[in-house]
Amino acid sequence: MKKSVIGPELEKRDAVPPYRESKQAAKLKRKEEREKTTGAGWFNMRAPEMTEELKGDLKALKMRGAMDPKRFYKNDRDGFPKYFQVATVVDSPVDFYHSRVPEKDRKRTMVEELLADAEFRQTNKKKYQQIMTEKAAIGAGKKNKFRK
Amino acid sequence: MTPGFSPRGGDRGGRGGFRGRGSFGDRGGGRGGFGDRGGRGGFRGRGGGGGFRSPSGEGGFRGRGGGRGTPRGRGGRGGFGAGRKVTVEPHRHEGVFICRGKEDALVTKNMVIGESVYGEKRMNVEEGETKIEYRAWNPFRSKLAAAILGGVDQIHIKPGSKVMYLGAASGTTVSHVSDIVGPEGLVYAVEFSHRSGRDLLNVAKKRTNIIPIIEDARHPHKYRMLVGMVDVIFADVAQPDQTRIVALNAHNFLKNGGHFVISIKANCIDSTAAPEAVFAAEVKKMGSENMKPQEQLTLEPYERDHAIVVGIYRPAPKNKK
Repeated sequence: MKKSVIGPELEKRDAVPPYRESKQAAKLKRKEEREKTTGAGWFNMRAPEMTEELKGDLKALKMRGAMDPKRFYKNDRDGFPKYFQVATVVDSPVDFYHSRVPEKDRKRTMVEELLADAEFRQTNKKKYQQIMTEKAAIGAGKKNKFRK
Repeated sequence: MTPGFSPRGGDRGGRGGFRGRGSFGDRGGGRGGFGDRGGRGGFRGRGGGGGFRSPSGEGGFRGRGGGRGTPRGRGGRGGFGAGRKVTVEPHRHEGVFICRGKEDALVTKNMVIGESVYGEKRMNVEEGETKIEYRAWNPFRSKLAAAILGGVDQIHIKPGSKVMYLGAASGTTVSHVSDIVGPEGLVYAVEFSHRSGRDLLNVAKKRTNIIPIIEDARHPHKYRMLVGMVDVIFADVAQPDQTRIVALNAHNFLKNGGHFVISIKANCIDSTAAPEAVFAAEVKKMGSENMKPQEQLTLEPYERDHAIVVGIYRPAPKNKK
């Protein structure tokens, strides 16, 4: 009876639903199923549900060139990756103290980590204000006057 | 040389994603070992990779010693401090992943969760009940990782494949190969030296897909009863007769149309000749052994005068039409 197409409310339909799925539909369904993970090649890594937090993290990764003025990255891909996982670096007993984050400073996402970084926020703010004054200067037709 | 085969190296066309950053700074390779592999421990791998990399002057999240006294940009912490969040994405090569944070790293999925083989960094993911762990793979310690980061087209090692690894040494790279092939795959790790063989055995104890063989790779008949047909032979033996050793093993264990990946250290073959000439001579030797080289690339920023040659053994004949 599991396969039966005659269920409740049959009389309200205008046609009996097809017993068999069309080849096309089955194919589509299989494809959808298949695309949920990377497949065996990467040990079935799942495509995560995009939440705002994950999106924020990916955006932060994308714009990591702005995190540190002394560091340069290749921006080698457009858009976000489909399959990925968020991981935490594991404590190791041989770590020196400067290379670990104290327990109470640990955060749930990369964005939160950044927001907790006072120095980053300061430089970011400075940079923002600098750009803003520049823009205002350009708006007032006095280009390069405020440039240091 | 066949027309389809051209040694790369000079121009280094498509190199994969992310080098540029400092090393993943493990604490300067564990033990010295003997012969070829000695000496590596000492100076590479240790913080920032000397002077020839890391343009920003900051070597990765460097272990100890690296860049002492350098004023760090900010935060005081590198990208891979314990407790930091990173993302893990699949790499172009099957079974390999990229970890992205402030720095990027090549990682493999750890077979033995909670276990670090040579002090490398681990990243863990918690997805509901299941725990997944990844291990960082340092290109300065592993020629295979260096080849992947150098942008090799194919490594032919993927989940489920059977690999013969000649010159397994202490089993650092072997552990990553075992991660890549996963529980369905197999790694036959051949190493002659008893001393590093001991470490290899310890790695193999925890990883069920590694079969350690402490035997001379020149005599494949001695371990023929242990080894089945393999899909790929990876060789990092650094012996003058390296090609012959690989060929011997290929004749015994490699399937037709199977692949070989050979890392050649020019100094170990002929220290007087120019490295390019040595590589060319080795490639020529392969041709006479039914091994058809398909790709060659240097491991330049990671190793000096090394090349990786990837090829196919007894390829299927082309249809003549």
